[in-house]
Parts: sequence; structure tokens; C-alpha cells
Amino acid sequence: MQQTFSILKNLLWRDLLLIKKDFRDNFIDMLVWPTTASLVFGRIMPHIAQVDSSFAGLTLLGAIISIIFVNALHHIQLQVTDFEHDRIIDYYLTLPLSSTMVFMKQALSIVLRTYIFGLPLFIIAKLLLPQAFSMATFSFTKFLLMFSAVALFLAFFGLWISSWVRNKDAFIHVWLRMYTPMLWFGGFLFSWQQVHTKLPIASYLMLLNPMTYIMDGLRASMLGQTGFINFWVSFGMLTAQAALFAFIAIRRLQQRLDTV
Amino acid sequence: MSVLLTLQHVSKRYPTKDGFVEALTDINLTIMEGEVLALLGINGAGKTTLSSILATLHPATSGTILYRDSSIYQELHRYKKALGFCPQKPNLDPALNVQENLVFAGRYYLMPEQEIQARVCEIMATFNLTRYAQFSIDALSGGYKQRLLIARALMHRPRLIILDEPTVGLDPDVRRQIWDIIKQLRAQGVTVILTTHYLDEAEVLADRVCMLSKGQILFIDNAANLKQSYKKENLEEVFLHLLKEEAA
Repeated sequence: MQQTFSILKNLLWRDLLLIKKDFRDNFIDMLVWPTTASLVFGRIMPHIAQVDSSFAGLTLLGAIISIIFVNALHHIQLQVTDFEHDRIIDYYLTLPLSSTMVFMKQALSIVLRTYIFGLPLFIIAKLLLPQAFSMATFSFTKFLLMFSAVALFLAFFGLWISSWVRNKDAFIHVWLRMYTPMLWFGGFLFSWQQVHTKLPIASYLMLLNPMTYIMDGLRASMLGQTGFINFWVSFGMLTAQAALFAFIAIRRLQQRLDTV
Repeated sequence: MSVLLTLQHVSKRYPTKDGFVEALTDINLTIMEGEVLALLGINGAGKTTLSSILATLHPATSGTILYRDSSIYQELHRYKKALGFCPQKPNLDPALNVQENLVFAGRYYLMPEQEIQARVCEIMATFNLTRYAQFSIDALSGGYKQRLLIARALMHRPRLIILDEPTVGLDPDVRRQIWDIIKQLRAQGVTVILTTHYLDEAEVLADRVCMLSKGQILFIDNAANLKQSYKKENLEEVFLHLLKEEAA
């Protein structure tokens, strides 16, 4: 077991090296959407529409989550391309590791990226919209717990997608048919409580969408519990779904790649 | 020579829309320690399927594969540590340069860092890769990619190496250099399973040749015996004779 962890550590070290090589470009890419959202909803919309300035905080968090999701899906797309073309995965599968551990490594690589590129975005959010994020409502422990659950969920959810999407060309269907509705119905621009007050049936349907727990969970940890799904419910649902997707994804990938 | 690998009744089926394709049927084979065994056959004969099963990329549908006396699936990590696999299509890590590909290969097999540095220097010199150490993979020619692929597979000093069509598409001089490396491996007591289309390559390098056709073994013997049995000048004539016989 110790050897397995040592090999995993070396594989992740390789991923860290790659992150370091392309850090600047990737980080600039990650900054664009949250910055744009903060400018539009924090500086422009309050002047031209009846939009409360606190709305900017809500949407900026939504924008950060969406860009983290995009980043995870992009790496899953690269993985699917590898299955079809370069087959670097075959090299990993011949290393002294089980195939389960190889797929776990693929997921952990996304977790690592989510931490490295995602966490600084929250600090930048505070700098962009200082009035929207009060330290009085911010719980560091809850935030770290929720962020870790989000990172794990996105990694295993992405791994699950890679277990069934046919090829890189078919990935467009994931963006359009899965990512878009998940994001927009997952509370990108509103909280679950707001929908529940006005449209209860729609709010119950929203509970089927993991994005709802991601959005409300992170907002509850940063903006305070009021107005959002209970933090522990969001955290529990997301962790359980991450575990479920991990189990299904690894089994399906073993079948897809016909591994030992 | 002692037995390194034993294959007993190994079969492989792939599911298709209409049922399944039998890629390998009842393969029985013994591979000795330190020998070079060439797997021959036309396209679709099952060579790559067999080598990928031995490389643990895919499981056999049925049958037993023993490494020394234990099933490779029960002693998977021990077997994988002893194994080096060089696939037909280069799957080098394009995000790492030549030297990094080798360094990380050593790390993945948990070699001590000092040994990795020494081994990387040694292996880059052996494969004439030293001047390309900092090159990206995309900047290498096909021949150098192939050298690096073999070098990476040898980095951790495996006892068994599987080379799947290692000389396909290479210039004659590079091909001869790879032949020399295989001869060196043999001299060092490394077992080599060599999948090839080139019969001259098999004749020059292999202790025994195993010809596959439609997923089954047609024969296993050394080249001299085969030529004598079929009264042919070279392995290519034996091969063509057998293919004609099979078609008839």
C-alpha cells in the first residue's frame, strides 16, 4: 500500500510540474469570467437595472464555480482525447498500480488543479467586490470543507463523463446538454431559497441537480447560512454524490478500457 | 534456462454488436528466462492482443498466465515491476521533455533518486539521446521517439520486456541499432517478447519464433528447425508456405 501511495505521489508530482509550466496562461484564463461577472453585476447592472449590489456577490461566486467546472471538464476532454489517440493512459496502466488507482490518480489530478486555480479566485473575488463578502459571515472551516467536496465531486463527475462520452467530438453534447442546464438551473444567478419561495415545484426539481448543492453550499460558507440550503445538507449531499460517481466512474472506465 | 512465463489455455474475446470476436483461442505457450521470443503473424493474427494481455493492459477472457509459479493477476504488482512494455504507437508523455520522461519513469518505479540520475545518463548514452535530453517529444523524429520509448521501458531494469513492432517505419540504420539493443538485452539475460512483421528481424534476433494465425498458434520453434522442417531457405519462405497451406 505504501508503494502505491509513493507511485501516486510521483504521478501527482508530474501533474504539479505541468501546472507550474502553464500556470500563468491558465490562471489568466480562469480570471476572465469571474472578473467579467463582477464588473457586469457589480458595476454596470446596478446603474441600469433594479439589481441590488449584493446580487454581484451571489453571481460572482456562481461565476467562480462555473469556471472551476469548465476547468475540470476541459481536463476530462483531454483525457477522452487520450483514450482515442495517444493512449498515455496505457503507460500508467502498466505501472505497478491497480487500474482503480490509475483512475483515482486521474481524478486527484483534477482535484489538485481545482485547488491551485480555484482557491485564489475566492481571494480575488474579495478584492474585486470587497463590500459583497464580509469576513463576519465567512467560515474558513466550512469553506475549506465545502471546497474540498466540490473539488472531489467535479473530479469524479468528470471521470464518470469520460467513462461514457464517445470521443472528443461528442464532448460538445456534454457542454450543451449537460453543463449548460446544470449551471443555469443550479442557481448560477439565484439561490435555492429564492426559487423555493416563488416556485416550489421548480425548487424541488433543483434538488436533483448537484450544482444546487455546490452553489448554495459555497455561498453558505462565505455569505452566511441565511437564505441558503443548510450547509451540512449541501456538504453531505455533495460528498455522497462524489462517492457514488467515483464508484460508478471507475467501474465503467475499467469496462470501457477493458483493464485488468 | 528456467521458465519465466507460462500461458495455459489463454483466450480473448471482444464483444461486438453482433456477438463477439475471438481474438485469441486456447493459447498454450512457455517463455523461458533470457530468451528472445518473436511473435509473428499477419495483421489481425492476434499478436498485439497477446502482447497487450502479457503487458496487463487487458485481461484474458479465460485461461491462466503464470509468472514463474504465480498467476500474474494474483501477483500483479510484482509482475508489473518486472515488466517493461513498449507499445506499437508511441505514448510518451508530450508534456515532459526527453530527460523528464526518463526521470519520471524511474520515479514511478520508485528507484532511488541517485540511481535515477545515473540510469538516465547511462540509458541516454546507450540510445544516443544525450544531445536531445531537453528536447520536447514533438521535436523528435520517429526513430528517436522509438528509441526513447524503448529506453523508458528499460529504465527500471525489467526482467521481461515486450516490444510491440519496435522497428516499424524506421530507417534501416535505426532498425539495426534497435536490433543491437535487443541483442544486448539478450546478453544481459533479459527476456524479450518481440512482436514483428519483419521475418528477417525474427530470424536474426529470436531464439524461437511463434507464428499466430486467426488467434491461434500455428507453430513455435527456432528458425533453424523451421527452415529444416519445411526445407526452405529462410523464415520468410516458411511463413509464405504456411500461409498458402492455411489458405488451401
